[in-house]
Amino acid sequence: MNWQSTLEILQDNLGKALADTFFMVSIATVVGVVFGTLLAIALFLTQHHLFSPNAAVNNVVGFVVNAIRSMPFLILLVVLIPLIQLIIGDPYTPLGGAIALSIAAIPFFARIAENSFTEVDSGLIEAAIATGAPTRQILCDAIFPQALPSFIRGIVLTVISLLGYSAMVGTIGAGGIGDMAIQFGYNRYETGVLIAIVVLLVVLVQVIQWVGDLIARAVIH
Amino acid sequence: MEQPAPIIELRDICVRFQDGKRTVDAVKHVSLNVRKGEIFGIVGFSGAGKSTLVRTINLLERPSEGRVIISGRDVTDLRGKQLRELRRDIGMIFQGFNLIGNATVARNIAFALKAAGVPKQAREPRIRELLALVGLEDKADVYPSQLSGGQKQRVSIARALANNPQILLCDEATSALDLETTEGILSLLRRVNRELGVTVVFITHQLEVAQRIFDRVAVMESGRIVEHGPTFDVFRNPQETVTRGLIEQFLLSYRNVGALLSEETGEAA
Repeated sequence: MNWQSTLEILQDNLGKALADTFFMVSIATVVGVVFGTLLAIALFLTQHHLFSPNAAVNNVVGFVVNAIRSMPFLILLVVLIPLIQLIIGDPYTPLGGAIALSIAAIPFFARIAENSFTEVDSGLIEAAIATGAPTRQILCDAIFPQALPSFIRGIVLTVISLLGYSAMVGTIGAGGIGDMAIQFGYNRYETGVLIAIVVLLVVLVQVIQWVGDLIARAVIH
Repeated sequence: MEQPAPIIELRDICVRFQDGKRTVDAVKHVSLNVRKGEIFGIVGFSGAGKSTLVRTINLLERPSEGRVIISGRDVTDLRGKQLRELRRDIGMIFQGFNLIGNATVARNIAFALKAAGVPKQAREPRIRELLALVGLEDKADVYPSQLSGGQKQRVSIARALANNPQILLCDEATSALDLETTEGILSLLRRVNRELGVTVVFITHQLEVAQRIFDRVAVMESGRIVEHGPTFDVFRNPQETVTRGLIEQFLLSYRNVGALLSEETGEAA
């Protein structure tokens, strides 16, 4: 192992790789949380007997969510390549990676958010309905604050999973630290680079988890 | 003597649930009238259908058959905005208090005010008024987890009364509380009934509650009302086995308390 070349590679590439990973994961997290939450609300309301039970809508949404989730990410990625090509031209870029990650993140987060909503005590929901509040108010002011800690933990789980997925996006050459680990660490036998990235990933995940737990704990009363 | 008009009229109410392939009749052909300004109780062992029946009044449970008439108006088929308006006129409190744990006392009460479209700046004075009514003036910014059971129930009473309802439904509202706390909640409810003129419908399996505050009582068993009348009459001269069972259970618990008390005094002597 040549320390000099390891350091050089890291110096030249790590900044850009980290930035790409950050770009892909943050876009996918935002898209996943926004659209996943909307799907979760649809699943929750159509399933709950005190709102608008609708087996047909619930089954259709549930089926689509399950269908995307049942595909291993690498396969979903391959399936999505032509679609991404159609949208942005070159799929082998951080933006292409971000789109693929976002599509995986939506159903992933939808189930997590649905779970957070379902955990809310149905007695509380009953009490909220009994005040005569409209559904939107019940969602925003009663269910959401109550689900918030578990919702935040769900976001952390999603970020960490997306970080893992983003390494797979790297294998098709869309950039990021996963891409860097494959290109240098694996293809060019730069074991030092590989080790550095593994350590970096471990530290990153720990920090994300720690910060997330901190926030989740701060919003519980 | 002139009878006050019924504020709540349940006509031949049936509630059926589908539990897998089995159909469960939770409420079977119940008719009853609640008079304006009274405290009406429904007693029975758990599983008798009391909770389901009381939920038909604010249509948290829609009856499979029968009509719900509130202040002379048939509300059984109300939906959407009209149903929400009806519910603002019917407060409800629960055994488990059902407060929003991640919101302060003030925000829990504000929830009901917002539901009724009370503008933001009008909410705070009303919240202070309500907290004074239930004796929790200093708890506005406290979270429910920092309150005792009795205090939580007081908050939920404040929430239920936020929009000056005519009716207050109480679903086993004291069953999670100890005797002393129950006493405090019952006198608060009686005050709400006397001073604000709120009609109270209270369901419970605790006869000590019934005997303390109910004007009239109905006894429920397996989805039916088996006897009803002025509380004193029903309990002095019970006609049905269930009623006798409830009374026996009540007396037994009192005898136990009595035994404990005499044991204590014995030790002291």
